[in-house]
Amino acid sequence: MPDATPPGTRLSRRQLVGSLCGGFGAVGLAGMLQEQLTGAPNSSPAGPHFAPRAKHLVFLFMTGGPSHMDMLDPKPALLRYAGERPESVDLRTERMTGGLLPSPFEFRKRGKSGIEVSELLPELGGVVDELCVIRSMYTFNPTHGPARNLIHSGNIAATRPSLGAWISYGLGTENRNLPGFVVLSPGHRGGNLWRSAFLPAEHQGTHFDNTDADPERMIRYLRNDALGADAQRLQLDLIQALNRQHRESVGGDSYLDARIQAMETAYRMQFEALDVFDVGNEPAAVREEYGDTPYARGCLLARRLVERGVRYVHLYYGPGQPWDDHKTINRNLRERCPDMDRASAALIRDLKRRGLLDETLVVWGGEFGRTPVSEAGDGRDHNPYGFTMWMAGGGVRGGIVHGQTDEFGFQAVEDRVSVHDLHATILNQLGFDHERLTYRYAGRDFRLTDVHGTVLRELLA
Amino acid sequence: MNLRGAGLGVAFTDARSVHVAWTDWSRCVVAWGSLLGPVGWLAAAPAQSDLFSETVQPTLKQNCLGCHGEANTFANLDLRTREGAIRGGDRGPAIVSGNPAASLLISAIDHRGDLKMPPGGAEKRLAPEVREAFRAWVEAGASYTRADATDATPNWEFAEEDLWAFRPVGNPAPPIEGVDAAGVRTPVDSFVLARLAEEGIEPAPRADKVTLIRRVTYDLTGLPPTPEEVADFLNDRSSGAYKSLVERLLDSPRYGERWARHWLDVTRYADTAGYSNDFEWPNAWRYRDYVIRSFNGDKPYDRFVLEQIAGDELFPQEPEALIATGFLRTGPWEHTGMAVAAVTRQLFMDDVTHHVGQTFLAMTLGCARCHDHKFDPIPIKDYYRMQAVFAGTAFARRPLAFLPDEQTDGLEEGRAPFQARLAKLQSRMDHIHEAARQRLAAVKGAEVAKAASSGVLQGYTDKREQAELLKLLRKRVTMHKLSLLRFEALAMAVSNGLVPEWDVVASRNSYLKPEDYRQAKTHILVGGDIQSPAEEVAPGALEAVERYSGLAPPDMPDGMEGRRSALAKWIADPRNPLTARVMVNRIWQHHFGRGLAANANNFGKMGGKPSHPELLDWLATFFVQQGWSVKAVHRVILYSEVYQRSGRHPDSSLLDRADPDNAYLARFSPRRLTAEELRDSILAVSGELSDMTGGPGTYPQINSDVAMQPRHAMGTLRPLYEAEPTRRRRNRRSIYSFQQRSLLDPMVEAFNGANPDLTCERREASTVPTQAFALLNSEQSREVALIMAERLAAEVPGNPVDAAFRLAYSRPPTHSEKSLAEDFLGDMTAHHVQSPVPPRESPADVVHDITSELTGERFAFVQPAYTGPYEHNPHPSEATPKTRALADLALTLFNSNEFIYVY
Repeated sequence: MPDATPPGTRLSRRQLVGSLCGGFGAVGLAGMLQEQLTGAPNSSPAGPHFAPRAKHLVFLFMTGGPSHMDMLDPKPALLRYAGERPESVDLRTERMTGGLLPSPFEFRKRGKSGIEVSELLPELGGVVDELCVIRSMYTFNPTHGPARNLIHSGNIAATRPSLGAWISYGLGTENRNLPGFVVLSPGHRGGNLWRSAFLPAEHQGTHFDNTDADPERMIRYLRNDALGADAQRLQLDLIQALNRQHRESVGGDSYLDARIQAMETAYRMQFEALDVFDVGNEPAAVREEYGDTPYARGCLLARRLVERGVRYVHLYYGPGQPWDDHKTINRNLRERCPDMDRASAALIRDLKRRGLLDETLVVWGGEFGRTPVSEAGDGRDHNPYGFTMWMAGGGVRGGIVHGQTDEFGFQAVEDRVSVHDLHATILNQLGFDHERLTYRYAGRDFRLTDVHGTVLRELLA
Repeated sequence: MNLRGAGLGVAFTDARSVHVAWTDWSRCVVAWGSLLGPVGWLAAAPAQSDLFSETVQPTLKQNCLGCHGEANTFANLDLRTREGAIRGGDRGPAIVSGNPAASLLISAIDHRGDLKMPPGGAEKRLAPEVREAFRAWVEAGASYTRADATDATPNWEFAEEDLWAFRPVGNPAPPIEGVDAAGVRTPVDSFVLARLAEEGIEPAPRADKVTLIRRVTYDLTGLPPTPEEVADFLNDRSSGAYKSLVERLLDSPRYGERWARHWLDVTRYADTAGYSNDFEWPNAWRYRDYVIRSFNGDKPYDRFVLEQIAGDELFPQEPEALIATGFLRTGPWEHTGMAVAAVTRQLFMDDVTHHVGQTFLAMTLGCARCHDHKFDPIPIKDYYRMQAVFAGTAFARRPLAFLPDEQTDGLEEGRAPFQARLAKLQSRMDHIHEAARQRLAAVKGAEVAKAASSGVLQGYTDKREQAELLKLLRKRVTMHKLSLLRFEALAMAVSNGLVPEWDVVASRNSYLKPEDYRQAKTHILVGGDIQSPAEEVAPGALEAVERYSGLAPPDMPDGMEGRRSALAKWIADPRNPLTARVMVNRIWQHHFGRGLAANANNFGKMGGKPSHPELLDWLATFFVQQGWSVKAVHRVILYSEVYQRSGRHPDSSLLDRADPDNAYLARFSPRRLTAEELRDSILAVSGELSDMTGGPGTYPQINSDVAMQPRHAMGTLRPLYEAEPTRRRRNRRSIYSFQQRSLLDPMVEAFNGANPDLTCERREASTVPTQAFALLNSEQSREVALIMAERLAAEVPGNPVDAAFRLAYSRPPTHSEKSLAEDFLGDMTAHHVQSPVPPRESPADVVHDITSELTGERFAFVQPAYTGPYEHNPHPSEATPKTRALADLALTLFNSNEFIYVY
């Protein structure tokens, strides 16, 4: 490799870094600052197909399959036939189940819309006029893993890009200092649920474990715990100086430029992220409104991230499968619902106060629902045939109920909504025709909804 | 649930439960829209006369005629004409004109009776508006008004340019016209130069020697050259210097390790079976080592094909050939007590059919699983004819003594920690069993208690947490027992029909029986759905190959025995137009970053067309003439000028305009290292790369956060990830890493490692900030950087900067680089003097919480971070500030573009 510097004219590192900053580095940085000022996305390979109703998505994911009959889909017939297995319906699922198990929770009409909500969800009842409650969801697999893959990626096998990767691919990010697709998952990493698969890897979700409120611990590897910021800057300056010299010697190359930029972004992200991720920066009253559990802090963090331009925040309620109540479901729900209810409702109110709800679509639900019949006496089995999800904001109609399950809550029977329909609708709100958001891989076009999905126009405001 | 597959000739009893493992991974997205039928534009009801052309006809075309009219007439029903529909099929008339209520077609699309169409369950039911339109149309007389509906020829036309891969392979002479003979080293140059001349592009000059030795060393071994190797090459001024370099590398055992990785990407290799339990395939590693040996020994490719598809049938006495059949089985597969046997069996059948098609023929066979291929001349029938070849193929874990070439040195050392852990697990389990047994005896008597299984005893534990713990221990015992099998002389192979003593399916009582294999029949499954069996098919291969190339179809035997041999021989036939082209294209792709045909796994219409079709054919012919020698193809490529060109073109603006993707190869395209190359290179330049080869998968150090995370194994927690205790065992080449489907090394993942669930034709090379975190901030790279620093401090204390650059970049630093690096070392040493590091923390026990499926309560399980002695890497607290600064420099070099990109 030829050396352009004659012996004797020994430049110091700082001189060299300084002189190089006048070249490529200055352009890159100015470009990025410009984007931050104007909020223009840095790259949108697919671009929206039409004017989007929502710019952001927050998915509140209740892993395990929450019980719709105890929360949002009242079924008085369960009491009438308590303990029985009426001949008229086939209530079989994968495991041995008993008779119909009534919900002990009282439902009341709430809000102007008068939607019936269980006593387990007093706070969500208070914002029910913002909610579009879909009581006729169904999915195609009764097992957690495949059903979870399906709702995350449109396919039961773990090989397709996740919803978030598609959104990031379609919209790019609004803030170069943060990833466009953030996953908050207390105590759990399941990397393949937020994978980019064959989409370019920059679209994969960036995962943070939000069990601990301390951002230093939440973002363990974001921050270099061997070197402080100054020492890291020294190291980065040397890397970039070597990279620029290398670039001069081999000729321009978009990959090399991209990598030089990515190193800068990574460095800056360490510091911006530490600020953003610190919910301690919120006023005490706001923190109080959400609560102080991992899920509650996750909801608050979701709002902070959305506010700063993150496209998609995917928040898991907790580690493992917390809503998988095969036993003692009533006791479990009494314990688990309060913080979920309080924080989810706080998120909706908070987004609304800040004028962000219109442009932020909030989606709540799990991979399936639960059976109206009991399992092991006081639990409920998996139910892929009918369950409830809700959406709020982002251009969907509030205060409505869509679809219904049969009289026991077992099968969706009216206005059935598949997971593909849900995906098609989410993409629609973000400005995409789900049939046109495709990616050519291995010689054919793939899409999130495969060959399925219908946009639920009747849900849209 | 007593469900048996349609392919096995037994009826279903519960339609719903078939959804248990219904997989639709291979359904093709149709570029022009949805198959679900027209919906949106029906908002305003069209006039009666428009019903047919606007709704009925397109819906029939999209949803019905594929099976009832175009390529097939299942159930003898042809819906292309009104006459056909009224005549009906096996179940009688489909349409009674003017009477929708009596029309079977209407009840079928409404899902009112037992016949529900289109197949695929409620999800595929036509939209209400569409069904309403059909009803109104039948009511009005079911008129087929449009002439094209009676057109009997399927809309399945192929342009000649899309059929290139099926045409016989030509043997074109290397072009002479317009080719400057001075630039021709091998015939490859002639073809490329002729094309460049046509395009009016001058080729770039030859690369310098440092670039060349890095390029070809990475290419053939996946590792950087050592400074000594670089010096030798630079000092060899003979004309044969480059040739001897290539020959040395082709002879190196590292060559097979590198090229086997490419093959294992294509064959979706992993050491585990994926899905919920992700149980181990304990002897899969012998297949991985077989692939390495095959490349190192330059096994003729036709033989390589025969062995992997039918080694057990064709060469039953040759152990290598039995190990080779592991290829058929390395895909994801799982059968559990909750699954339906026919569905599980179909998982394997679809996996093997698709992957045989992708691997050897570069055909996306999976697209023809549900319907005739949308783009290529592969009818659904061909898919199931290929599938029928495997109808009798059963999993077999066959006893097979280790070969002299196989690595058996480390087996005892590897086995010991598993045995120790198993003993601990078993003793904890015995303890709980004993207490439960006493409790059970008190209730049901000693006889019952004595015979009780662990599952029964689980109901008699003294506390409910004990039951959950028992479940966890039982799963871990199963996993450890499986893991111990990897040290045994067993081969992961197949047999024709079930051989009970080789049986490997855990939940046998609910899986196939020997008679199921003997009687196995293969039906076309409409929509890929085992609920919708249509006509039975005989084993066979792709009819398009015969139609367009003239190669006769495989000569299939009557019974189960020999079907795979027939298919394998047909694939390995020199006249098969696909096989040799596919392989030489893969080889080309790995040398140049992209294939002559851009999609190495798709030679159909949707794959990239060859940029140099004549060169591809010439290479394919040459390959066969050279006895299918892969190394012969390497030589003819590597010796060419094309391969030795500089990455920098003198007229880059012309090139950016005329050939931005560098398809005509005027220059060499640089590439980023793959994840495995990056890890191996860092270990290599640090002097830490272990020389151990072969044997069961090893556990490298991975991100500790990921290693300690709780991971589910169907209802319970799987054991923590434990890195190998010794540096020599854990710092081996990445190809020897244990490939767990549910846990990819996050470092490998960040740098676009292959997803082993599906075939990977080519690695992506993305650039994201998270890669910087992985490489710059992770403890693994920092620790290896410290190892390199200690090596530099010990070996070249006088001039570590110079040595570091020579190791990492194969060249000394420039003056300015050297001064930058020395300034940096000074600054960082000063920094470290001020910032001492606390000693290494001993790893704490890990507590994992899950919600118990048995009790609905939180269940906490405590496990120690390490279960045995552990040889740590050096720690910064044990190093001087100067060495720590050197480690910072090493890490800087690992993160720089010159290290990460090959030119």
